Amino acid sequence: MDADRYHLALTELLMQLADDDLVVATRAGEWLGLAPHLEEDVAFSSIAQDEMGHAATYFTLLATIHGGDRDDLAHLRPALARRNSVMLERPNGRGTYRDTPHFDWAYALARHFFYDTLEMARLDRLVQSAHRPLAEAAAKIRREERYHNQHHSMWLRDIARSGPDVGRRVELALDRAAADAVDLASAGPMAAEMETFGLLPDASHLTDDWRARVAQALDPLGWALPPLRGTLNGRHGEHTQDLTQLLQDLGEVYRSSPGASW
Amino acid sequence: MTTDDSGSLADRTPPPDAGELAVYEVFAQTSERGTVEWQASLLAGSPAMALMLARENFLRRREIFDLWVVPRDAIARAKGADDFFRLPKTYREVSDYQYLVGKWRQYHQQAMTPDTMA
Repeated sequence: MDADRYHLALTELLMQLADDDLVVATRAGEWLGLAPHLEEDVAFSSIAQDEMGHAATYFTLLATIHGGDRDDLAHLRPALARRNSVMLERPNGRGTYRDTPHFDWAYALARHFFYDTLEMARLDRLVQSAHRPLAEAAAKIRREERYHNQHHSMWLRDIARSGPDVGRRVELALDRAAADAVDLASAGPMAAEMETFGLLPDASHLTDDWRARVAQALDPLGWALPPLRGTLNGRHGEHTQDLTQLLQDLGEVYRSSPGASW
Repeated sequence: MTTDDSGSLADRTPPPDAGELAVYEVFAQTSERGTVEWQASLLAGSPAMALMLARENFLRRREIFDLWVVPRDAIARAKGADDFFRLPKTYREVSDYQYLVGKWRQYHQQAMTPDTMA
């Protein structure tokens, strides 16, 4: 029985990791050509590429445990089978990438700051994971993730020095990101098993750890973590129409030719 | 890349116009004994941000030993200030001393004649 629970908990964990990165990478990639200035455009796209690389790593691990093809797992699972946080699937702002994008840079920063802070808290645990392939992957990913974290913290710090108008916009953005973040720092319904089996050590303190890290970064800038809200829980497979649309766009080419070798 | 601090010093030193974008010149050193060479220019809001953008834009696929960013305004330049570099100073060129080769040859030959050797 324990073996079944172990297998199930590991599958859930890998799905959370893989789905989070796939979705965040897609949203970050939609800034290509739209970031505030050229240098940042390149930097942010490169971060998006890193995140997609991390997703590929997690989907490879998931395919080994769950069975099936890595690309199928990424592209063909319906929205209700996804485990990503709802905050990550939200669009970058008004409009769409192809049709008059009026994206919100402050919101993108707030969301990525929240997510990357979670990633660091999670990776610090995963490097000790009882599932050795996951621990090894986490060590490699953490090296890159440190730079992502620096990127977002730096932006927030620079923006914090830019006057009250900008400050208010960031506050609004943090609030909007928090409005869908109730599930973000949660390890889902199998968190207890993840901790017991050592798959995600100290899973029970993940949320507190995340909150502490967020506060540590925001406090000196005069901002606070707004109350986390949200009626849907992505870790339970509850999602918005935004995710359905995202998956449809992302997998469009893949589904156009089933069985093709990419 | 060996730098892992994103500029701890840079973090403590806000630019004159905090929050404003400024042009930074990027320099890299490929090895400990290598020269520091100019790479590119970029726009950034702070020195720390300039270091980060320099890494992501210009040095992603290269191993480097050290990375510098300098606000362009901090660079004093000579261009247009004087014509020092255009002054005709041929006596500072090696070519100006070519005639010495002939002279030396001439003196060596003189030194070798039986008369002078006696």
